[in-house]
Amino acid sequence: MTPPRLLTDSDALTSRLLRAGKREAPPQGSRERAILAVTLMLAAPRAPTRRWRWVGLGAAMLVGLTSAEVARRGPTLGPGPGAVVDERSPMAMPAAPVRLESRAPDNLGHAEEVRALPGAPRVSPVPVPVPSGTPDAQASADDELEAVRRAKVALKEHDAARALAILDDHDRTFDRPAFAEEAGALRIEALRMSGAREAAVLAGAAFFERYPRSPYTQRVRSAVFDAEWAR
Amino acid sequence: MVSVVTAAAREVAAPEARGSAERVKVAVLEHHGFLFRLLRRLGLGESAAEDAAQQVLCTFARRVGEIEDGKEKAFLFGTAVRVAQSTRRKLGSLRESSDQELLEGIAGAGADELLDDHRARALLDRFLQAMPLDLRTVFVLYELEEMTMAQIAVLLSLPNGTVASRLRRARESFQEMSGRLQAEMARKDGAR
Repeated sequence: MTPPRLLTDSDALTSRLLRAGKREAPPQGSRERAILAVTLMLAAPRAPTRRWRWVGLGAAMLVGLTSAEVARRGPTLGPGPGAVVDERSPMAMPAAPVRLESRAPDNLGHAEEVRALPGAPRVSPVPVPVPSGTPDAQASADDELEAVRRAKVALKEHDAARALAILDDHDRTFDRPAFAEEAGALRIEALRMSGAREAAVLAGAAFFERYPRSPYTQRVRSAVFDAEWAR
Repeated sequence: MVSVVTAAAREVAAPEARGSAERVKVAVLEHHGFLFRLLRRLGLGESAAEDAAQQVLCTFARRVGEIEDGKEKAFLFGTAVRVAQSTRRKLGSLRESSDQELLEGIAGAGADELLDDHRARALLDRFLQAMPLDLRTVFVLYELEEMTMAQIAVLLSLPNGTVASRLRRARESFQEMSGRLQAEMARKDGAR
């Protein structure tokens, strides 16, 4: 016979304690970090990361390694000489060449962390600082919003290369972007769409680290996880 | 350098790998919360429980090919218990409390303070730590995860009678501690 649960059939203190235990949820962003840890592990099984909670930092380090590999190979995302090419893999046959600066998550605002790591080469051109007060520096929020809108349209039309070009331009133009979070999420979707699988995963890790409570969490998760494993 | 592209392309190329990936995905999406709560109730702090849940899921992902269909949760559970024990050994700061230590530790807690979820969970964990692990796991699965005794028997590979017996002893232990605490609080209230 199944006994009644203490939660509903006991004194007030006991049910209070059990209710509190039952209500406990993982910390904000915890599931996303688990998703990324597992995804990173599957993508790079020998990645020497032990403290998965610091997956963002691990991602930044891997960006350094990946970037060095990219710098050696050249600015496109084609598989390396030893890669197994499979026609079903969008990663092996990217829809369009992706520009070098689109590979690293620097544009998500993690530039400082990535560059601070010893030996991590900078792969993204430094945005040219524009003196304040010039017309360019005063590019309005409307202009930025328009750039983000155009990137969204490009994604909607499945043109990842155009979306990435727009987002690169956005990052160069707006040194203090008001829509960095949205642009970051769009970049991850565009990277994933272009077939830059590992770059999307790493950028996703950096995104979750920087914006743990982002309203774009579901979209980014979908781009680095659902899309990855639904194939 | 081994290309991650190479490894990923191999994974994409194998149909069985795609099936495995789907199982890993389901495990992460459906069981992450369960694992976190279980690890917390097995005595890990919040941060350690998050790390441990990732470790369990990564172990699952690595070994998914060896796990029978339908045995996913049992694997996750067994791994979580082992990881919790190993983590606790490493941390070394958590230990089983005796009943006396338990009562001394909560003597300062008043009824108002218990309204706070955080304190309530700390107290719950102290009650649980006072139980042997085999009773605690059955209690947590039945009372907090609301699994049936039959499900617990399958999960732990135990006869139904053993699950029922462990649950009964765990509930008696829990209610005894709760009763002693309430008596202590009433005594303190009366003394004021």
